[in-house]
Amino acid sequence: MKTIKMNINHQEVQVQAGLTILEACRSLGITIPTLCHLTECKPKGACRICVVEEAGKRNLIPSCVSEVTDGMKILTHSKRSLASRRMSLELILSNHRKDCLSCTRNLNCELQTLAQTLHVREDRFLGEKTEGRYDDLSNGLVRDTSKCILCGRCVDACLNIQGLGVLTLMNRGFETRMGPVLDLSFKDVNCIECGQCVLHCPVGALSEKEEIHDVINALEDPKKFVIVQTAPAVRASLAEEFGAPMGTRITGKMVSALKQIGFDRVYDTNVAADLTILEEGHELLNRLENKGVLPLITSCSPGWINYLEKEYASLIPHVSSCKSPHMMFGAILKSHYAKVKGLDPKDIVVVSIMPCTAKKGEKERMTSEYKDVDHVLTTRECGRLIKLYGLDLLAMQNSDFDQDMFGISSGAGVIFGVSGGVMEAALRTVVEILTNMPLDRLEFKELRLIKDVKEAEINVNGTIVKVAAVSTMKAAQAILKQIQEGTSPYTFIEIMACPGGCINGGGQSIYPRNHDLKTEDVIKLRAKALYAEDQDNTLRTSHMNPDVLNLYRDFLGEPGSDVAHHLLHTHYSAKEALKLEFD
Amino acid sequence: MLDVKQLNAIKESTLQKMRVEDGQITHRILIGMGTCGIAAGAQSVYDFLIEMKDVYHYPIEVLPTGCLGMCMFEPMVEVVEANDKHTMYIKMDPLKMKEILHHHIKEGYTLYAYTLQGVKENA
Amino acid sequence: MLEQRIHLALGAQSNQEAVLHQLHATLKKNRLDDRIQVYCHTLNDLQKPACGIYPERIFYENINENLMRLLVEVQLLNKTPLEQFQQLKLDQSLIERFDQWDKDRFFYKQTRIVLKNAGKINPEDIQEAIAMDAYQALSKALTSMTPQDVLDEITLSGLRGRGGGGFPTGRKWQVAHDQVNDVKYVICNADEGDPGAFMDRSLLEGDPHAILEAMMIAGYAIGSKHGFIYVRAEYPVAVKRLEIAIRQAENMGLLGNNILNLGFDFSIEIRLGAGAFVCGEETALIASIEGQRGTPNPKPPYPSVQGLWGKPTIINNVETLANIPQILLKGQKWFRTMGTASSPGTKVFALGGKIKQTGLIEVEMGLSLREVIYDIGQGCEHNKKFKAMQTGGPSGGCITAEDLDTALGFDELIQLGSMMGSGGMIVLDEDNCMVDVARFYLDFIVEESCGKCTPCRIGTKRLLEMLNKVTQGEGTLELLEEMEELAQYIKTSSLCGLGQTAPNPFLSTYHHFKDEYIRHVVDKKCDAKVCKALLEYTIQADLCKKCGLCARACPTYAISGMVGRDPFTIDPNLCIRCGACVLTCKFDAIKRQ
Repeated sequence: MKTIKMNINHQEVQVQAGLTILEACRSLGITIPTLCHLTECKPKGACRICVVEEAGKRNLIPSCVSEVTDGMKILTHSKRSLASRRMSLELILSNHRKDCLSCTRNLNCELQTLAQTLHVREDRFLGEKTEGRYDDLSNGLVRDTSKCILCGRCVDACLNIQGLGVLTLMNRGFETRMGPVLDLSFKDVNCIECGQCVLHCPVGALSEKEEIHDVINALEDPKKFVIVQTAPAVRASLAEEFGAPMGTRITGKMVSALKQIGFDRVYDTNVAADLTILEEGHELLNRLENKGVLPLITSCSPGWINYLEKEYASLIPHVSSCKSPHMMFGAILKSHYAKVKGLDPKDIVVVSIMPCTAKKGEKERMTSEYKDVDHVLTTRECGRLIKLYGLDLLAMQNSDFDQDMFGISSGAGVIFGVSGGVMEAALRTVVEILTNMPLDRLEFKELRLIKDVKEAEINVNGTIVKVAAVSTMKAAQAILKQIQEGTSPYTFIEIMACPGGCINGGGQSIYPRNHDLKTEDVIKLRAKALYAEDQDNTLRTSHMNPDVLNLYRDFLGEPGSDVAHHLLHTHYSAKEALKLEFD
Repeated sequence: MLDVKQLNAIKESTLQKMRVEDGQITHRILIGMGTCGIAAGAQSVYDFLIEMKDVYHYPIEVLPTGCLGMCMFEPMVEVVEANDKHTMYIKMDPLKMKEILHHHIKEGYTLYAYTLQGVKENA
Repeated sequence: MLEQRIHLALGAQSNQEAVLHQLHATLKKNRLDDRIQVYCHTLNDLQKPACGIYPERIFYENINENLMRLLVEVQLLNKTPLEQFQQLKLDQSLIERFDQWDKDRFFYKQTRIVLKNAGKINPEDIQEAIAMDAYQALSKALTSMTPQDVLDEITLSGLRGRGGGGFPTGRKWQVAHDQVNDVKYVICNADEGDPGAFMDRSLLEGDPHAILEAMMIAGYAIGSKHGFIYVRAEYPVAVKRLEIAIRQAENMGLLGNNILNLGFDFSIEIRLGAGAFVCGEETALIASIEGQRGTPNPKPPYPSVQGLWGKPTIINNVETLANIPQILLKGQKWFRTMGTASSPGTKVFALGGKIKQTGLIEVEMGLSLREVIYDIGQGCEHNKKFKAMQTGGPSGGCITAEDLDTALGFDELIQLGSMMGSGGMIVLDEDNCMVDVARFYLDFIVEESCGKCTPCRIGTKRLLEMLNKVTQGEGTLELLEEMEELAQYIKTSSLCGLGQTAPNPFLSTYHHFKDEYIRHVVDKKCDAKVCKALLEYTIQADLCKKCGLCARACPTYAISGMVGRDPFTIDPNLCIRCGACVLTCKFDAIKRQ
């Protein structure tokens, strides 16, 4: 590694060549604040918060784009650079709504933190503000440009991380606004509601559509039997909302908190994940046996399903008809469960706590008389709900999920929350069924890498089967093209909309982009929690889950039966994608 | 495919033509038709001259040209004759052009009052 | 280089034109045609031709062909007057006419290099362009020069970018040439957006082939096969002529594959700009061509290293390119004879504002601003007092009367706190309020900011709001200080050139006309009577004839009085300062201050 000598704040230092000033300073423990910078994307140099003074230069230079050079002399916190930084911030604040007290991002806002750090003590500039737009017409996302600081991180996330390009900046100068093309609502454009933009927003300009109040109303209604289910990835992130380090596993405490709040039942979506594996595995076996359409693609990620229907409708036959686990769970709860418990399905309220904003839209997909799931809360909303009820999550006792009927789940279900996990879980079941003997090693190392596209080859009775696990729509595009062209080498493909899977989903806890933490670290830390939970579980394959087997015995019959099809499967249809025509 | 030799041949023959020396055409009339000229009404002058040429067979060549830089005097019309004689008429319109066709082109008298200098002197 | 001017006055009879013919022929024979400009004037009442030689002011009359030849050879070549023929008894009115012609220097102080064909040829006919030496430089480069020869010639000529920054063109090309890449691009920047500037438009409309040729030469020099002309859609005539020129050149084999049968390939495409000022900035222009939002990107990497679609790209302004063929054809030494050592050559300016002779001019660098304003532009209109000159468009600054003797040049103007810019020159006289001028330009900047970086997006907006306060009489001395601080911040912290120069209209006027700002904020007076809110209309009772016309003209019924009895008065609270009363009053009784 080549190093160069330079002078930072009057100290001679050696830093790695090729770094930007920002990176070099961070490696030395000097924090230069930024608002627009994302480590994963090409630096823009837009916010001008990170400017530093270079000896001999009239203008201040943006440290996020300037590379270190030999003999360079830099002052990171000189009077000039601090004054400029504060001025930039004051100007941003002068065009900001500043209603911190009622903002969803209060106390977790990078702008707020920066104003504190840079010692902003007055509203220095008063003047006209850019006309704002408020859009809450879509199911999952809310856009409020009066809080937007035009850092462009959401645009980067949407285009460069997800490969979508739904969000853009429009107009120019002081009238610049962030939003979907032509200022349309998220619901009218090709948005898949993955929520990555929300994760990357430093302020409250983008957020999930909150459903906390609906949940509270349901809890307060004595007629309603409110069941909550929690997705696997939530337990790996919820603790962060209470200040715990990233990757803290909080399953037991979360269950206690939810019980405290007053949910009538607290179940684990993992049970339904096991159910999904049986249905989806059966579908795969069926297609293999009957030479059906292959490769088969998973359907657990509603962001991916939105993308499929809007952009790749021709591939619908490739996608598993299985509902996603929480929807399956809801369907079972409102049919078999209601009957066994003697409840009227219309009095059952199913609340899902999900790491996802797209699930909020997914729950509106109706296949029967009742909605499978009534409300979807994100991990962040769950945190807010727990705080609202005055509970200190980290101090809670551990409890188990409710045990009646659906108390047991496998380790295969819990790894659904990380990219490659559904594939791994499915393989554990499918390979065992096909080879008719237990796997000697349940972990598929290739599927646990931190990559957008992961491949694995499995020897099934002498035939090599190729599978892939893909996350982000950007990475999926190439794989989907292959299928369209008929050159796909895979038999089974897992697609997750968010980078790294649900653990990095759009509904997860938002961490400040202080650049010490890269996305891959986030994925690694949170995934570790889930893999550990899998490891700790004695039951690690879905098809051995006694509760699921009982369900088949008592109600569904066998995987792929008519009842199962009616309740656990859905269908997709091409959605008209927004096409813009210009002369 | 054009080569260097042919390029030079075109250059020579066109220069000849532009010097108004071949006799067929006695006057080359250039009309300032940059954006400024068109905005000041050069199109009507151009159309008028084309009509005069086509209908009355004046021995003239009518050509649009770019802006000479004196946008305030547009539409400007430059009459080029043999011996590199140039006369610049300014603030033209079809009526004035008619006079010029008669006096200058037909009878050979410069209409000093319409030239750049003439207009300035009278101002 | 032009040294002398001959004005030839001919009678109406065409037989006198033999003298003109002789003059041209002799000049050419003695190779004086580059140095001496001939102006031929026709006077119907003149019996025998006469001529005047300037700047010496020597006159001759009764000229015939022989005398003409002698005159050129003795007087002009050897600079000795022909004593025996000098006719001092020349009619005084004729001498006055000669003087008038020469005083009419709109052309005479000009040196037309890039504009040489504009207004002289039919731009829609490639043959006429060829007759005026178009594509000769290309053929010279392709047949007798290596790409490095071309680069050396351009570098040695000292040509600097005419688009604003004044970066040495040769160096830019050399960097692009040195990049190893099989795809490179040449871009012609014709996104001329400065208010009041139209040099590029005139060039493209008058001589499009010069630009095509220059782009091909650039392509040959750096090893590029493809060029783009980025021209704003608001120039339909220029676009049309470019399209015609490209088509004609392609049909003739002067563009496309195997140009001039010399094995060189080059193609040119036109891209239309959608009217954003910032797209004149290199990186924003590249983004726009790529089909992205036209916003600037940080430099480095510079476009010559990593430009359009990540490939080495040179971007040159129209005027810069128009110089290229001439430099190759006549040599860099010839080019260096014009202008100053650091800024050789000529520059085209769009002269406008409160000046008698407005228009497009091309002058040698090194000419003083005074000569440009008083000789070429002939001074301010209505003999008003010259106050300042704004150069460089909204990014530039103003130059006051004290600095008028500065020579034109890139570095000289920067030293004055202004800049060459693309070449807009707007003259302001005593009726212009400098605060209002700053407000006008800043308004343009705010309108045209792309909105990417904070200082330019919000900073300029706030600065404009503060300037508005000053013009409305709400300013304070503290506000002025705050404005200066904000302006300095915008200047040092913005992302691109547009932002870094955005506060210049304010900084420059504030620097040169601080007292005017202080008048606005302390005395609440606008001496130029431009800032409406600071004006006060009063009726002088002793002059008022009590006719009541003003009261009838007033749209807000602010004027009251009794016809024939009481003098009229204006209620300042109702008055909207429209000035209608002043225009109606026949007795100049209404005072505006």
